[in-house]
Amino acid sequence: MERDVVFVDGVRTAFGRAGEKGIFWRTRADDMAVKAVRELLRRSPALPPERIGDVILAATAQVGDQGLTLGRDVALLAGIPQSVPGFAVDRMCAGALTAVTAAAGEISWGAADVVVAGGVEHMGRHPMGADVDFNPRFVAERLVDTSAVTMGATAENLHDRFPHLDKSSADRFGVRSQQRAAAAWQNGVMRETVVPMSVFTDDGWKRADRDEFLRPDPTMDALATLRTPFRIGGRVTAGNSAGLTDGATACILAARETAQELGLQAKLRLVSYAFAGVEPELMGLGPIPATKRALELAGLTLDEIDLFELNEPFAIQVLTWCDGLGVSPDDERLNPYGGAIACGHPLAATGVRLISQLAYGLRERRARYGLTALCIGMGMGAAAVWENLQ
Amino acid sequence: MNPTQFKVNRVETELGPLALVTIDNGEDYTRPNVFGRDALGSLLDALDQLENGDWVAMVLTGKPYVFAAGADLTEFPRISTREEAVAGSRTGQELFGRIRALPYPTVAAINGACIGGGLEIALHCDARTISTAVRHLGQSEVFLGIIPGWGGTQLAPRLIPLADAVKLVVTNPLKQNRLLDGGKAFELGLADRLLEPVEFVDDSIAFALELVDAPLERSAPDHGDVERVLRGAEAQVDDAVHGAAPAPYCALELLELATHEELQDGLRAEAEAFGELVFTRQAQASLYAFDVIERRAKKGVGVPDATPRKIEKVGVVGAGLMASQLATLFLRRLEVPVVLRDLTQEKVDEGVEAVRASLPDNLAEEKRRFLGSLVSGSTGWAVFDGCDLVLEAVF
Repeated sequence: MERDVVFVDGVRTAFGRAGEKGIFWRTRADDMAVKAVRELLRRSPALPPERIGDVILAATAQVGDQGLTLGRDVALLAGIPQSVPGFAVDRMCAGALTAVTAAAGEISWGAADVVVAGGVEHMGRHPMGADVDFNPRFVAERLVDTSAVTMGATAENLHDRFPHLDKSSADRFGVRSQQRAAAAWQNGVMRETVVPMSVFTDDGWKRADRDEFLRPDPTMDALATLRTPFRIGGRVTAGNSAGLTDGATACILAARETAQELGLQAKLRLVSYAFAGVEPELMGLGPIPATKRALELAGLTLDEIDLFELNEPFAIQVLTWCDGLGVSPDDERLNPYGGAIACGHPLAATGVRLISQLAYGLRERRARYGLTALCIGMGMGAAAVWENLQ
Repeated sequence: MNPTQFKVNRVETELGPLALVTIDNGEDYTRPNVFGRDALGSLLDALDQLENGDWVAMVLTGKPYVFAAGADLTEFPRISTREEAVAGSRTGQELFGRIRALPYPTVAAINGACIGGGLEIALHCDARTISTAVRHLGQSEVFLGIIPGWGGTQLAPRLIPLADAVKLVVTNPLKQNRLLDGGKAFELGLADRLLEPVEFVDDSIAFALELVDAPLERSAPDHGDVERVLRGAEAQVDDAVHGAAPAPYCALELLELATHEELQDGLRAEAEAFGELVFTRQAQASLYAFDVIERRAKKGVGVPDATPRKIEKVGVVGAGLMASQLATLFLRRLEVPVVLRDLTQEKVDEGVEAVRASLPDNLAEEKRRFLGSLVSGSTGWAVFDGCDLVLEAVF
């Protein structure tokens, strides 16, 4: 049995700054995921909740309010019938994309007709690597370079490997991301994909309705003065990388035939996907082989892709992808609504943000194919090719 | 304890800015929001913001699990003259009245406990949403020998029929302070929307925005035969207090007043009556008792600091009436094995059966089976082996 898998709709919460000053500091991660899931289902009234075959949610830190096999936990909290199962996945930054591909597998096989997939990361409550116990063999046997566990250090490593991609080119990309994101908040893409959420804070209830990493009018001069926290004299700064973020995403995937049966408007068809491994200390390179493999599986060339939604944990990571695939960082097809540098990157949640924005962008451009890709800690990359059905 | 504050935040909506006001004392739900002097001062500041802005609507809600539990009773002993008491009532009426006068829709989003002055501030709003998770809502003042002094007696009958207002303000408080849950409050007409807790604040904001374009059309409540309602109520009050406490009678008069007098006149009468009642012996005694029961007793005066030993098996010497009742209590509270011991097997069997039979009918069948299996008995002493607690109950 092999069935077409379609993307019906995707939403996210606004993305907040992790930590005490962030708007989600006192909000639970599972409650954020519940908000995204409920909004998602509200927008698709044609979908009877009992027809959902599985709820797959990703989180990198699967403890505390992100523990308890999150997909099941959130399904119950969101009011989805008890008969609908759920589970949690982890592939760090590609968590949500992995939830999507796992859903695609279930749908393709016929194990489920409709799946809710997404992710959540409350990096304020769960700082990256906080509860991780690294195996000493990694260092003793030099299995990976010690810099591989600090994502910012891997980004510095990319600058070392590709000296022509310098700090000013990274800063320039950071400015571009902020400018495009600012414009995107003016047009409809954020209105269509971001659901405002009332959250309790020390200052009372507030509405989380805007990403907290947006910087109006960033200038190259201002970015040049920022600290380089990962290395003295380094190149990676808060201006050319994504901050630590709290956020949640969710989407509906369905068998094409089920979407038709229920009258759900499918936005995209999943054409192909691929994951790939690279040197852990150069984890930002991961999307290059993943993209190549996904294109090969799709039988498409890069020229046939009309839109790229790439995660931007670090500007240098996107620049190396551009370099490796021969795409200009100024290409209009690349991250037209800005990226994680401007909106934030709640690790396991980001994948669905990319897909939701890709669906919007392909519809606006009346274009056919799009690509979503992310790099993944410990040296991996993920890519998925989508076809516009709108 | 931190003073309760009114925290104003701005929410941008497609219709314009909405004021989202939170009642919050910065503590968790075990210490509810209460309105003392500082809280009213904070409300004054909040009103400045609310009266000077481009707001299209306001939503007033509480910190998680608590809306507001009313006046800060710990400040009552500070009131030393009748004039002060009247002034305290007038101040609250006027401050809350400024919410009522705001030129845009105001919604109280009752998310949790909402008692006394908490309900009064909600009644001053144009409309109310209430969460299905609310378990404690009431106008409890009469229970304490006083009356609602911040508009409650005048506003309740303007919203709901007199008979229901009597229930809320007079007869429920006289039934050991019976409180309403969200569903009951909604049925009574105290709230305009009954909402799920999961997205309660978001849904309340959406409701407030609906009112911007389409204000609620509220017709005056139908009080029916006012005389008959009052006679019935008086009879109920007589049965409860036999004329010995003035507050419920006074509250009835004020509720009746609300059915025909202008609001401002009614409020003035309410404040005067409040000033009279605070210094009655009945009110002083009730306030004292409330303090003892609600605050001191809950703190567990005299309870040692040591953590209690874990009880994993209980023995009862005897299997008669008292023994089986004790056994039932331990079974229900601790859900641990309970053994009965008596002289004859027949007596033991009777006792064990009595325990099983006294488990309440509303328990699920599985639960009855489980608890029933925990109780056993014997005529020997060996059954007490391993008991963490043995009680003598031979009767």
